[in-house]
Amino acid sequence: MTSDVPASEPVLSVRDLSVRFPTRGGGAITPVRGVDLDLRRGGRLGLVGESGSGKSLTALALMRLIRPPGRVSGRLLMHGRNLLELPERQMVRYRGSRIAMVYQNPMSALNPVYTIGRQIAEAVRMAKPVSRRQAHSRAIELLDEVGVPAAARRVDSYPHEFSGGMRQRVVIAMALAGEPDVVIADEPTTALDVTTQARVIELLGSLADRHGLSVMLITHDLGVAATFCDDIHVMYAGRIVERADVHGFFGHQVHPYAEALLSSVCGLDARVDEPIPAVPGQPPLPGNLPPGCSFAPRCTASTERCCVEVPVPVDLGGGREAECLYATQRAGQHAGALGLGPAGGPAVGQGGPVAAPESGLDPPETDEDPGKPASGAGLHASEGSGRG
Amino acid sequence: MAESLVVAEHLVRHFPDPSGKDVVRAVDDVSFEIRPGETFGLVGESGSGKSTVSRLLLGLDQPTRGLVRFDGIEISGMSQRRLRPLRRQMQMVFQDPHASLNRRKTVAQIIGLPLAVHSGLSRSERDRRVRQLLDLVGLRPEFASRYPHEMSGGQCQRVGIARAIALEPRLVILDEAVSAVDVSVQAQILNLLKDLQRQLGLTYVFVSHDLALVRYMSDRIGVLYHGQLVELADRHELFAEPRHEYTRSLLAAVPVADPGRRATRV
Repeated sequence: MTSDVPASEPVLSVRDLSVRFPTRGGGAITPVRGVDLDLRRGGRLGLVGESGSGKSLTALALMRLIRPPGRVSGRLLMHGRNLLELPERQMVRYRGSRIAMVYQNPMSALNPVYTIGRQIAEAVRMAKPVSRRQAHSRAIELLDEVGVPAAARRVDSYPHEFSGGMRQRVVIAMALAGEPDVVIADEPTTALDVTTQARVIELLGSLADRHGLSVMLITHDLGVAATFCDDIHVMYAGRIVERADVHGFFGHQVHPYAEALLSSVCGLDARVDEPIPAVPGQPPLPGNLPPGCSFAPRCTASTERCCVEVPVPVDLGGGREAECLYATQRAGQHAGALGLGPAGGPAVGQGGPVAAPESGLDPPETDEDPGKPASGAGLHASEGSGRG
Repeated sequence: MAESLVVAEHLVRHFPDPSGKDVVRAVDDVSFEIRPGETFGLVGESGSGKSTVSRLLLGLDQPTRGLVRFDGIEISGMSQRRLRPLRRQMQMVFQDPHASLNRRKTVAQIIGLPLAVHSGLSRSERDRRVRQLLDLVGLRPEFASRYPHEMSGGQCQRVGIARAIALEPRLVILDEAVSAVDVSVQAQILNLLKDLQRQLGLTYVFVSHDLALVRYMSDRIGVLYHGQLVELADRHELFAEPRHEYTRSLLAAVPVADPGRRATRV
């Protein structure tokens, strides 16, 4: 995977990131197990997965906010530096000014006893040596920018005087205070109503465009991910099991978990007279992973091999990768969507890697039918990049 | 058409404003009927009054004005004692699967409690019924001796459902019953709820902020906005031709897992 060097230098590169916690019995659990990811400059990466998949811990590890006895290993490369090797004093300056986070619950991310102006000003002063007065007026500007009406007056309000959506705007203003390159948004709209959610996502998008931010959006909501992101990474049991550009991903999924997850979503187009194709069973706990593929016990396509052999990521070309023993065959069934047709998945996005779809062309190794039509799966790939 | 199981007539519920000067009109003149065997969906955002309506339907709260009839009997203003025999016919499944179960009790005790309170079953009969119920909600018999913290959110929600249907109620109110469980498990629970409805002839009130879930589950849907029922229609009608502006904005805000449609969105 490290061999695949993207055309544009990523602003953040994560290699072999693991998070471990000791357990009482003297053992350890590893809820994040060797995550690799690249966030392109100006890119919008969606890290999707269910609770317990390790996505929030990944975010905290990127911010270096995992506290002992938790241990983080791997490399977090930003501006040629490994953030994991920075002394905490330097990391404090990185946090906010280079990499900032928008948290899920705005009420607990804000201090109830200080005015929001004071809290934003504090974030401004953490990043830049400016006077209190300057920081205060910057706070008003930021509030204005995130769409808080009457910012000059509201700056002296307390968090409880704001609605949930307005509070989340305040949290976004705080994240912007240090003019970071990278914003990690961890379920930023999960606590919000659907109409408010739509507005906050829209705001995040326009701010990202205006400031050239690179955003990593962590969400369990595939609809939100489809709306906002350029690239999708699916996390399961502490690993990224599939990655693809957003059109390729929603066109079809190679990893059986990604496919099952998507088809289990009860959307507005669900057939009401039929059961929803649910994923059987429960996700595994970090201390209790099955041998072999961690999805095998729930996978309807699993074989005996899946139960003993640990899969490694398979590069399928066009920026797609899946961690499944049968990734190549499964991708072969959708060959039309993988760059073979005129639709050409990799063309989407801003200068994404245009790798040759090597393995996507390989003939299937098993007796599965290679001639299954891709059935319009490639249609989506040609659309898009028309985001306003 | 069969007679309505539940009738809500001009329900009003006001709460005192924190300042003490004004009132919060949590529910503001809401009327609807629920037919036996159907799923009545109530959709709205936080603060729209959907939980207050649910509580009024169950007689857990009293309306400021208006009334609720259950099976022809007016339950509004009824004393808790007189309400009790009716209680077994109406049950509720709550949002937070862990918080709604007593963590000091085993699954068998949790599901067995309504049986102990309302049914004349002996202990061994209750145990047998608990096992039946576990089977019905798709949990293996060994779950009977487990505690809530030993189970996942989806498993806890199955226990909550087993408890709700233990007394063979006629009405089950599902208040954001799948909002807190993961997507892959959510589908399992929705399928289970539909199966149980078919098998047991249950009437559901499906309360949710998620329009897609309400659509999937409900035969008829009421849209609540600021305490008022701004639209009430059959599922098909509501989605084919939403009349109220709020319904339309609610529909437009639902994120769709299709990036091809987002040019018009973000």
